Amino acid sequence: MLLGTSLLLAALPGHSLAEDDLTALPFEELLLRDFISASRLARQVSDSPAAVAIVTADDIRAYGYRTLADVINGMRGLYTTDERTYHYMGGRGFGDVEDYAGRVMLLIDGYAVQDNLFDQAYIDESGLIDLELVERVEYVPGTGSVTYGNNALLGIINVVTRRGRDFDGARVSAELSSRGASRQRATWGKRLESGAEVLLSASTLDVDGRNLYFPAYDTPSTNFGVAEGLDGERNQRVFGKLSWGGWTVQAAWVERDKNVPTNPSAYTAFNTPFPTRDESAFLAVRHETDLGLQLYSSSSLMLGRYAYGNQREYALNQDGEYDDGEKYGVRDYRGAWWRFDQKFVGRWFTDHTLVFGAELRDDHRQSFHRRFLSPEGEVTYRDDGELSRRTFSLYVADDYRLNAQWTFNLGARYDDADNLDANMSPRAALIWQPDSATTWKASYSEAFKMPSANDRWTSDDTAVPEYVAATELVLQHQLAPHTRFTGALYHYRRSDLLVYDEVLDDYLPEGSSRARGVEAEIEHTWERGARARASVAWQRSRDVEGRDAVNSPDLLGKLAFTFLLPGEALRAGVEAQYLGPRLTRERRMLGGVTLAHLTLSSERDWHGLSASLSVRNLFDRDYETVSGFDWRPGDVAQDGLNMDGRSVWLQVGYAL
Amino acid sequence: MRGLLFLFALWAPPGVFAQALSELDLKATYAYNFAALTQWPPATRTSFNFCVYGDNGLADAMRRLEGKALHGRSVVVARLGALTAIRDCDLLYVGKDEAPILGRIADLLGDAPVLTVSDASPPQPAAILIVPEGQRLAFEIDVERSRRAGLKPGAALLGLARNLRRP
Repeated sequence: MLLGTSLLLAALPGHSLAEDDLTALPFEELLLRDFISASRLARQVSDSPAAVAIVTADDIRAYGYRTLADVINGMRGLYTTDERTYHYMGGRGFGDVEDYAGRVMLLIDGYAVQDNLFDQAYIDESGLIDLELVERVEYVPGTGSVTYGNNALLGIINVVTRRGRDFDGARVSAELSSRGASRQRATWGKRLESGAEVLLSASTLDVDGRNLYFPAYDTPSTNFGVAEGLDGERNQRVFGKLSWGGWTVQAAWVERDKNVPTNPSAYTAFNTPFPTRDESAFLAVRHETDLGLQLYSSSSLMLGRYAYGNQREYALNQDGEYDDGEKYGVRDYRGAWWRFDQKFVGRWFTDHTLVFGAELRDDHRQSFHRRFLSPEGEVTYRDDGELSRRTFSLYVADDYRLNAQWTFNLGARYDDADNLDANMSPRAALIWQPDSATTWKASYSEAFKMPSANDRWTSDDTAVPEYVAATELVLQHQLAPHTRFTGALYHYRRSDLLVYDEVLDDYLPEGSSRARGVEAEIEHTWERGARARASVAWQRSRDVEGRDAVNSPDLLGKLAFTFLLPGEALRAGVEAQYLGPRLTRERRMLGGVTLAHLTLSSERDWHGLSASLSVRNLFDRDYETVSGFDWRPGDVAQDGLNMDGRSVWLQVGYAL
Repeated sequence: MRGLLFLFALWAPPGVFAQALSELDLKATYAYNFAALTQWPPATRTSFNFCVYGDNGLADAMRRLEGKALHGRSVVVARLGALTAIRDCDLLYVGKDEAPILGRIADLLGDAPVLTVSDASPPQPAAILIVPEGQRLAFEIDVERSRRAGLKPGAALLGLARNLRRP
């Protein structure tokens, strides 16, 4: 059936032989041919064996995106869950909040920036990158362990930062919102006479605390469910990049303090301050060079750090005392690592592109410190853990162009960590381009995730690697010069998941779960930057017990449309996102919801000034997200969290 | 499932593959024609080296030229990340984003027999510049610069260049 359809497409009239070999045409004739500009549609990555989604700096501006979570919410088949501490990403059967974001890779200019304690990718205000500095965000769905090893189960988000010349001078901006947020940013970028390029940026965000209502705590002893003056947040970010010749040095730092409004455990007191701090930083150097014409080399060294801390207050027990005389719990976790990667791209053989290399990663610090304090602040108990891990990896992939229509891609990566069995992640993909407008891609791949340091520290006996095997079929088709269709069919099988064994009364890593689905997207561009993107994704995912998986909506829909308003000075960006019904951890079905967002932005600077006005949740819809809280403080469940209504954001920028 | 595949098939109406060509494919083919219609001094290499600096999309489009025969040599395409190897190129294509370093490239090359091509807006220190002309692509030749590099643009090429075309 598949083959039949494909043959049908190939047999369609309209594309002549000349398209395949333009060099056969006389030059005089070529000079008379019209060209289609390499517009954003044509520029998309088509050589990855997956259907890559791309959000550009223009999209970020047109749709008023402020965090990576906003970007991800606009992408086909993806959604995020805000648990009021962090935003987590979901899609293709991955969605349980307890999964953290640890099953997706987040790369900044190719550097993996998840922490080395929880393996979490930070996509909210605790993340390293300020969207103003982003040239584009690429999302490669599907497994990526063949290239990136550990953690690349669901997909890879690659953030490509802008260059100094994109700013060409200094720029300051300020942002205010109805939510009580204010942000300031200063950026300077330049391409120097010598060819060197510099980009420096710093920003700060301050969000006011507020009152939030949690129905599960609506009792006289817990302030009738109101967490007062909490949910405030602050962050500071610094980013710098310098490139010259084949060298690039970059560094990023973020510190975020949030006063979390939710109650973290059954033993802590609701409506007490719960300050949580995240700090991430990295410094990286890369050298790229051509060793002769057929061999290209890229070497990179990255140093990374992460720190996490919080302080929680325990509740009084029934006797009106603190258990073990402990009123406060303090966490101070720190991670540090370095990673060296040497990659070669060889083109010695006609029709083959060979990528191979080795990586050494040393997670030399994974330390966990918990202290418990008496009401007077004296330490009553300590719990400390010091872990580390060293991983050596080798990888190779060959892209073999069989002929003008067929390309075969075969790769494997070997990862050997000092405290785990070695693992091999293979991938095979077949790419067929029957004509210049159509690409079919079929792939099979396997990926894995090592247990995180936090898993190993808290429950060493059940901390085992987890695996996924993925099969995917993708069609990319240029329907018309400015219209593009992308479709994907996939099947994921996760294995070695923890499942409860009644006989042993314990969790064993013998479970497996499945997800399958189909995604379709259409993009169209008009003149003057007007463009629309519409997608629908249907997924069916089952957990280890064969039931519907938690927080995994069957249906997701996205619509984004941007166009210039009459007068051409203002651009409008409209988004509508449908999130289908999804199960909570107490197996309550939350209703489907459609959210709309509207952004108006200035198309050009006016005497150096630019402005942007966004309304998020335009129609003020009430909705809930699935929470990770599977215990009840009283009779009422807290398996869902009420989300914010309408909010308005104003940003003003000035180029000096 | 069947329905979906049927839709895939329906969504490919005949005639969508218009006569217009992708800009990148067209530019890559122009580069091939520049090389074919220019005479190089005798070389010892068995490969004819096309290099691309600063335009990855073009490098990908150019890969289709690999293995073709040019001046008795076989075409090899290389995407350059640095300028170290540029003297090993026969034709060096510099993307318009990298136009500011065309001057430095010219200094580095000196009189080496390398044909520099770019799609940056003229004037620029490159032997050949590809320039848009409405919906078509034209090109300009800097004859003096080519001769200094020991390259002889053929009469057929000179006759098609916009800046040399007779009105």
